[in-house]
Amino acid sequence: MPTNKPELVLLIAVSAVIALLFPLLVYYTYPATNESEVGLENILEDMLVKPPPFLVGSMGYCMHRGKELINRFTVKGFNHVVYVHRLDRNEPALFVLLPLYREENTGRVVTRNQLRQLISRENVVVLAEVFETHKGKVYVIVEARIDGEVYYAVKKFR
Amino acid sequence: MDAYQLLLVALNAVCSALFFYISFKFLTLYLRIKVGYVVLFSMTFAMLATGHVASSLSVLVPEPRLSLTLYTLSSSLASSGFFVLLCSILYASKERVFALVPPLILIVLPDMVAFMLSLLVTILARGRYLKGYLAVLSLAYLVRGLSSLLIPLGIGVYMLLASELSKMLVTLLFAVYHLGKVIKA
Repeated sequence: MPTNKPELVLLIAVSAVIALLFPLLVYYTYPATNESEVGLENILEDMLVKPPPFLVGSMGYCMHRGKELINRFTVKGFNHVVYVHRLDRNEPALFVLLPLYREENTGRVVTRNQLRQLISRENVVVLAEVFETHKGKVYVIVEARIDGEVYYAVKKFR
Repeated sequence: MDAYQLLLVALNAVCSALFFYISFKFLTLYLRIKVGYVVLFSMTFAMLATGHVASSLSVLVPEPRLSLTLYTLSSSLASSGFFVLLCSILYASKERVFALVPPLILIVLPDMVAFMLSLLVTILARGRYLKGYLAVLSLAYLVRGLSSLLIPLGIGVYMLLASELSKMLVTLLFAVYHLGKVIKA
């Protein structure tokens, strides 16, 4: 036991620093993903268990690679994710849709299935958050512009 | 929520309940006998228990950012708790040589971080000679860190000297090897 007060104060201060430094660092350096990393749950669907939130969080923290605008692609197929071919880079890509989207002007809410049908049309521009996962680059769609209509992803938590 | 997450939460809840109980027992013991370091024991177990609470919250909170923060908090609280436990053991023991341990941890920590990072670099590096050099360098940091920890025991002094020497020798060989290549070119 520390015999005097300064030693006890020092002990408590050091242990508080050890306990709080890393969580605070993680919290304040977390990238601005706009909560799109929850879309990565679809990528982990072949896991034995449902991915816990901290796993999704660590994927969002470590694998986020910024935003990208994609305007030339053709839809190749889909199950729970949309497989597309990017014409601007001539490479295949994986699109992941979030559960709900809202149209900016009318306020109409569409589900991921409805939006999936919409983005298979011509002249579609999507804004996606890019994640570099073990399955290659994954594009989580946060915004889609289709024939003058703009669809934004509805945030899940807030 | 699926079975795995439910299991995690349940196990964490049981662990934190047990740790809180131990902490409470130590606190009542302190109130009876008034021996200082028992309070630190109580503090350690309270911290471990709180760590487990944070761990189960990291499964329950759906927001990824907050969840990851809680996930980090659970392990940092545990290390903080073990730090307090270490200090209480050191103050309780009569062996003065163990008073060296807290500053030693500070010295060892950069060595261990260097070891882990250089190991990663070794795995990722291309080229046989570079890989070999990095492997030895990485091992040298590990030995250096371990030997600093073992200084109070005597054997650590020789380990420290040996690891420094081997690091220098390997660096020299590596430099000479590359010098040879440059001169040939």
